[in-house]
Amino acid sequence: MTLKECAHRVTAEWIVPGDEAVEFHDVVVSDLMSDVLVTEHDDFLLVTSLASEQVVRTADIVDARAILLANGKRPQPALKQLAASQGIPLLTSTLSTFDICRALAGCKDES
Amino acid sequence: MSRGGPIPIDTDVPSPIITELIYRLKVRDVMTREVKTCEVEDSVRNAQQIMKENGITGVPVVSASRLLGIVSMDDVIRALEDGRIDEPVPHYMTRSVIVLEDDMPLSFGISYLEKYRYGRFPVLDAGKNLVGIVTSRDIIIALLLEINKEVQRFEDTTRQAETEGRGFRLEYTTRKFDFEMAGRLSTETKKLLKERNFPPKIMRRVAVATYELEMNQVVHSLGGTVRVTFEPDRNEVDIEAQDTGPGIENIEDALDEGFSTANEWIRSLGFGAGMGLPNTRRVSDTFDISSSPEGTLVRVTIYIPTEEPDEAL
Repeated sequence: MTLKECAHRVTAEWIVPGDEAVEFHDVVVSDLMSDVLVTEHDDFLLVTSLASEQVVRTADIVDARAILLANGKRPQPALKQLAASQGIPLLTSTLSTFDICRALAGCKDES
Repeated sequence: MSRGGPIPIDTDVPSPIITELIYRLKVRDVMTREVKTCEVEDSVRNAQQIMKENGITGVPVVSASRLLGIVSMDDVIRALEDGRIDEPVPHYMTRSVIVLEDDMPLSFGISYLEKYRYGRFPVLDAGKNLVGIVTSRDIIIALLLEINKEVQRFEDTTRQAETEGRGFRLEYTTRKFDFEMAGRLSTETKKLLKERNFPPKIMRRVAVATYELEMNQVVHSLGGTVRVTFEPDRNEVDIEAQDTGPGIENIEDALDEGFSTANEWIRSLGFGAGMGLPNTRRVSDTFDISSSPEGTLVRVTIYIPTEEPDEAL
């Protein structure tokens, strides 16, 4: 699924813009960054309701394609700045984590 | 005249950095040099006009750069009440003015603000000439600028980097609960590995190990250092994390996935899930840990596949 399609499905707002054509083939959903670090995937979307700088650090380490903040979380300026400087697209959606998962559920079969 | 409590800069027992700073800075470093003054012939109305035009509340009265007194807003109000606003300033100015000398340490300026409760202090040079004026605003601005510089200097000392050819050595200092700084080492390490065309899987393992070790120190220790070393002739990346205590009570437990001593607010930041050390061990080729109340030392090695890293991509 492309970031464009994803943003459309969860009515997300782009906080740090990126290439909308970028594709991801899996989604990792977690508020525990240690769990994210364990994953073996590398072309995935990170969905979290944690809006701290450590989310960006973690996403960078595991090469996540983009970060999608759930529950309408608004990032602090420092988080935004870090995401921009690391070149990681950042989106936010007012949907709950569960509804985001529902909306993106098909992404694995579609790709 | 009392205006609330004392100024919360404790000049008796402040931090060493602040003490050093307020003694190093002289009054002349913080004072405003362009002083709006009036002459003895000027009327109180003239003085009030100068205050209004310049947005100030006190005007020194001078004669050939000698300070004779100071007219404040209070003096202007007294003259107004008396209906004598057009009288010459000497009739209403305060003559016993508290002054600072330009080579006094800033600490005097701060204690004067506290002691005398005036809004401003004229500054004289060694020859008793009026050379400036100091308000609390001047002091605040100067202090903020200096503190910024000190913080910058401090942050610079938390990072050490050496590179030699393809090799590098990178060390960061961590501090207890300083979550914002944690992760800087792994971010920079990853960048260095990327520039050297390391295989993505190796980069990721090194980044995960350094990040978990940094985070572990921030969450659990009193602070420490994490160092990454890559020597090209040895096909490995070495990571060493050394903290200053309080040590791990039971290392076996700490290496168990899910075992955690972190409290609720650390968990609310997305950490403390009891995965730090197990994760580090998972991505390491060799993993050594020793701990005592004086500190914990973790040594990790990650081997680089023997083919040239450039070709491994």
